[in-house]
Amino acid sequence: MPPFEAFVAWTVFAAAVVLIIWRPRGLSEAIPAAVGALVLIGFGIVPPGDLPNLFDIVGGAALTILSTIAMSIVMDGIGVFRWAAHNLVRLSRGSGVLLYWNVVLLCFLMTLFFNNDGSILITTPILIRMVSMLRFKPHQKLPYLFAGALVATASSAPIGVSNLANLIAMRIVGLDLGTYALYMSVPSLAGIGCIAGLLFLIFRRDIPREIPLSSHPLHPGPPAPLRRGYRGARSAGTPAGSLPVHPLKYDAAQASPPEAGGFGLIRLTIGIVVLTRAGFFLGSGMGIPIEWIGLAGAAALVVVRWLWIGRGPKDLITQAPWHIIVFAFGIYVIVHALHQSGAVDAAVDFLSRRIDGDRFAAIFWMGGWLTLLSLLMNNLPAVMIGTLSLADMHLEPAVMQSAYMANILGSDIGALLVPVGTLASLLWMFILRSHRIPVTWGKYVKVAFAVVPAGLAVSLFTLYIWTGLFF
Amino acid sequence: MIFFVVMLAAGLAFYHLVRPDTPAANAGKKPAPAPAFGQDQGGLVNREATTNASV
Repeated sequence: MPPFEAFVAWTVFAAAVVLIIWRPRGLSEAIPAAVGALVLIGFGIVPPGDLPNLFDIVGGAALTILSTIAMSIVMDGIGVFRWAAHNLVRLSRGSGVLLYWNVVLLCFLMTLFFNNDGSILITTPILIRMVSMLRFKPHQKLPYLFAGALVATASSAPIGVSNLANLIAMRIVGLDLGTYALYMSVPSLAGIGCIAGLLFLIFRRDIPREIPLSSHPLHPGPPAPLRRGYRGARSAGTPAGSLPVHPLKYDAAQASPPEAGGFGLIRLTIGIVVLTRAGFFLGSGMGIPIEWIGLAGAAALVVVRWLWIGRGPKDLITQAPWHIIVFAFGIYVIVHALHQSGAVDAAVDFLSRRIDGDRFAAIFWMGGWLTLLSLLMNNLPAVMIGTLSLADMHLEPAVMQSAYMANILGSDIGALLVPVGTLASLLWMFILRSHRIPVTWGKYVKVAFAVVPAGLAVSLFTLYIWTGLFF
Repeated sequence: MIFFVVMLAAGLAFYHLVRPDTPAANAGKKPAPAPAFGQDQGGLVNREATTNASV
């Protein structure tokens, strides 16, 4: 590619990444991605003939994530997740330590059954409300909030369908879901376990031994989050800014009416989500595109809700982030141009010489390289660049697949070192800020540096041992 | 197939954590309201504040 075109590709890429992370005035991340892609197509740097192939790789991944988010919107509307905080406290039987591990489990499962960003969006407000209602001191809240954020985000690694970046990377290398999960589940779980364990050790003095289970004087909740359509305590006939009852002593007369549908609907919707998620593995083994399974599951949820309580799909149409398709496609077009420009050739050459056919070196160099890229440019473009670079290295299959898995671990776990590494971490920081919980970037980085490098190293080493059983 | 089974097992754990758990629920009656500290949190509504950040 001529120098001018390479310069344009680099400039567009840098501008798009800055705007996506910065998001001035709440700018949708789809806009810089789309504008950047249009500029590159306009300059002829990405030929229009390449677009169908690029869309084929990204479209299915974006539709899968969209279907998952649609499911979470339907379930949130029914009120499923409102029980989660109540159950966390109930199941903890008065132990702050048990509560910590229950939070870890909930965040892990939320990402497993939805996706990393959805998990952060749903569980962070639940956890904030829970620690406030339990009247934890500020330092006592941190273990639960950090565990929620880091575990929820890292938990997108084990099965591949919980993260847009992972889905796109899988499509690039043509890996099926079952093989991905076979290689990645154990190393990812080792890394997640290490992070959760280290967080527990770091915060062990801040985790309360006992949590109150009996009724106590009312405690005002945190300030209302910044959002439209806020249905606060006032709508329940109580003074704004306070919550009427203890979480474990809720009062049917005072609390707001349920979202209708009853427990039967809640159980049915959970069943549909679990079957859809499990169905990904069954269906992909039969060659059925996973986006079809995801869309079928989302449609089933909408139909069930419509038949049960007569609510149509209007909320989905208005709330679903349709722009994901444009965003993912735009970013991939930009990364494709950057790759075509030869921008990563030097890195490919450097890494090829370091790896030199050695699986151990491939795992640790690619895990480290993807961590670094994610910290600089966010993990979505990073994993695309890393995966495309791998294809240029002409490695033997066993080394190639190990390096690809390390690629994912670097972008899902290593990227947690700083908030800009993943959009989910940025989202978490935003939600905390909107609830006036003071977690600065410095505090985040301090905690992340204490747990993430060890978590990454453990997951990479486990990957080496685990995949050694197959190759 | 193995991951199909693993996901079903994880689904049971997930259900255990988020299921409605009250005497009314266990008796199959009409639901009581959700716990009070969930009343105003509907997590996904936050997406609007973050202007479509859920990607």
